[in-house]
Amino acid sequence: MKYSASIAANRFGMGARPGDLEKIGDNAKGWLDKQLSTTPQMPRPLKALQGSPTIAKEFLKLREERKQAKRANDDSRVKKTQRTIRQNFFKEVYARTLSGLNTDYPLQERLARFWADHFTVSSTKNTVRPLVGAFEREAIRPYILGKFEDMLIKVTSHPAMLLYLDNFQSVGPNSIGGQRRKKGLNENLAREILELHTLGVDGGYGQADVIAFAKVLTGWTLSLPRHKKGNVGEFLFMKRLHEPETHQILGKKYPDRGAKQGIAVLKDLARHPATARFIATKLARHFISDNPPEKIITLLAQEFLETDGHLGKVMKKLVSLEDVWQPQPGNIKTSEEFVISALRGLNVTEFTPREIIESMYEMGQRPFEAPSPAGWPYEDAHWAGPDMILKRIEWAQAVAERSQITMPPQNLAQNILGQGLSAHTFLSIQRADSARQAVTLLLASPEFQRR
Amino acid sequence: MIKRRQFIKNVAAAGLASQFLPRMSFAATPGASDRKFILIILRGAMDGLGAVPAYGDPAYARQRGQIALEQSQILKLDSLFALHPSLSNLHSIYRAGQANIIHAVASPYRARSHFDGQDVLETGQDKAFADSSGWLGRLLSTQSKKGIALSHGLPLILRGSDNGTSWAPSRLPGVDDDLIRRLEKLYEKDPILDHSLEQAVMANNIAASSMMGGKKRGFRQSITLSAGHAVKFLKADDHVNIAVLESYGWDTHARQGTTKGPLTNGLKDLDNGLGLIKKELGPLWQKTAVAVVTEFGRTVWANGNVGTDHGTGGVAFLAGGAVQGGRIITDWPGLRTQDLYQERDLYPTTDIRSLFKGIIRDHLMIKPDVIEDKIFQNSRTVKALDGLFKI
Repeated sequence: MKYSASIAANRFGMGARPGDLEKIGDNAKGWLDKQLSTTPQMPRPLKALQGSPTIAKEFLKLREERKQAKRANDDSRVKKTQRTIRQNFFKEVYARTLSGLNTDYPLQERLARFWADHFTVSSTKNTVRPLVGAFEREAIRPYILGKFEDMLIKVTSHPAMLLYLDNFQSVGPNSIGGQRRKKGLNENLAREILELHTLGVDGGYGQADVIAFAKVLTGWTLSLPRHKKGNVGEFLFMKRLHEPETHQILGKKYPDRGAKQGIAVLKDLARHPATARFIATKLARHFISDNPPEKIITLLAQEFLETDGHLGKVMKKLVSLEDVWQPQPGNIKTSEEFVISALRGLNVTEFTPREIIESMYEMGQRPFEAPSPAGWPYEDAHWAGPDMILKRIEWAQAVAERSQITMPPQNLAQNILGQGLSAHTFLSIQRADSARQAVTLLLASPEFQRR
Repeated sequence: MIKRRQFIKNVAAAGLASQFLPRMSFAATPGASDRKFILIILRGAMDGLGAVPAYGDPAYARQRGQIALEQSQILKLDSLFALHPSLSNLHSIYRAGQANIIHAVASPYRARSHFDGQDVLETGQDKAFADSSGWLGRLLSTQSKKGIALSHGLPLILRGSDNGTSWAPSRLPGVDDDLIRRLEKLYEKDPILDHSLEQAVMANNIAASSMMGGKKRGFRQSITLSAGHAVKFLKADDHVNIAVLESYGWDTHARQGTTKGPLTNGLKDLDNGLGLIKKELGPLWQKTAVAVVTEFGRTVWANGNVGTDHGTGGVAFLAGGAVQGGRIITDWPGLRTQDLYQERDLYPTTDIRSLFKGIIRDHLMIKPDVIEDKIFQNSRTVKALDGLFKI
């Protein structure tokens, strides 16, 4: 088996920067293993950002200010609060982009993005928007090499998820709160945990399981000022909203132990063979191809079950498999992967948050704004869609125009694509009529569009 | 419209022109030469009973509770059904005999996952992930004309043919022909990228050639905006006869509202889009059918948050100057609890593929055996709806 630096940096990383492949040398697998053995640290650009409770409190304050300004017909103050809300979001996008650009642990960055997508919270909901970055920092990043179970519990109890999938307002019909008020059950979170986070749609659950699980999760909410309980913007279990009694899910009975009832269900789901298979399939799809070999899925699922869902170990298994080192180009990059790898490859450091957001907007992947709880599509057919490819080429040209590369373009191509670069692409780049055209061709090439 | 690659080849091989004519023939299909079809996909599951309340059903008010619409608010269609007040354009199109409403309709999919539901809606198969091509994509491979999605990516429904493409406006500066030629060479060995580029260039040429007046700013996937672009494509090029619009945000789990809120906003956007299509198409409206579909319906009653959870039977619309309209097509199952599917959802009584089959047989003039063998395989028992169109 040939471990290639190019595959390590491009298939498993955020794309090579000039000089990266040389540094990795012939230690490609070791380079990945080391990242998988290093406890994830919070990337420097993300360290300065606030936690959920602070963000939530500030957001509530800003919303209140805006309401008052509206009432007073004070347009400039309305605009000012809106600008602050927007700028806070831009800061999040900018910091996350920087952490992808500057990282020395690109596989960890990839995993952070993979898991944030698996457990999508999306700023398509205005109330979720301020918290999407904090969600990734608090519920995803610390767990990417740990136990799946821990990530699942943290994610499910995170305010952003409770808001995004409506559970914060789900009320047990027979709870104290449910009997007094006209509110009741909301199935959204329970269903998506089963379908999208754990078992997968064919994982063997039915409508009755969805309802029972929704009941189990009643009371899982976040603290808001009106509750006068807990710390605003943090998880809060409200017993008075919780549907009492024992509930049965996938044939197992869970007695009512308050929030612990839900945790018990999540723990069982995290260890379920269907979950192992579902996670294995998604990882293999992400790192290998849309239709990964069955034997790889089986091996990864087995590792998942044997290690109690230890994600670092599952990833080590993955990078040890021969199939993932196949030299032929793999999946088409997502637009975010494309943008970040291009900026890394060209060493572009001067850009504004707005430029990043608008670039991603044009290429159909607004940051933190997946279209549905299923996250972004994974299929090549989506990311290589006709309009998508043309936009990438147009964008590549605009970036090529601005980039100041310090070596001939065909040498840059060799430097960042290494053995992955074909003679055909090398010649096309070499024969270009200008540096701009050459760099555009490099970024548009199949080797660069794929990973 | 000649594909760019072919065009270049033609020029290069001028002496052998006849041999190198575009491999697709653009000869008109008899009877369908200028017919247009627009499909609007509402992703997230539109609440059918919110859009088309069965106000005359004795169980309506009781079952819908807080999300029931008042009689004074609705746009009545007959003694049983009405339209949501936001659908005023659709209402007048219906009144003019140019729209049908298909109620209690569903795909064959019976579980409640959006993603599987949309997969089944778009592949036209019995179950999810049974096919990597969409039924409109398979339709396109039986004809010479083209279909376009007003989207960044190519939605599943249009996949599986050389004639499907996608287009969304761009704020980025365009690229020149020389670069495109070089890219075509660069993509020689990558069929996926090669094909995408070819399709994108095709769409972009239409956009640039004619109508768009330069590329537009500020594109968001609102139906109204993409409807405007769709109409321009359909008018600009005779060889584009199908357009697909995608809309998001129909998954109204909380506070979906009656005459305000997310459902109302979505329906307003849809209604504006329909009004715009009718107005902007001009005379072409007479030759057009617009279908509006969603992956499934929602629960009949409100959940605990005055929203609705995932359901089964829902609503589809068919509008257009070519449509023999003014009808509500339904085998109404009723709204009493015992009438519902699993005692929660509107019982589906019409397979949505019978609508699709009716459209492609009687509007796009595809032969029944082609429909059954190539487009909707394995669903012979699902019969096309008859009499949807004037001619």
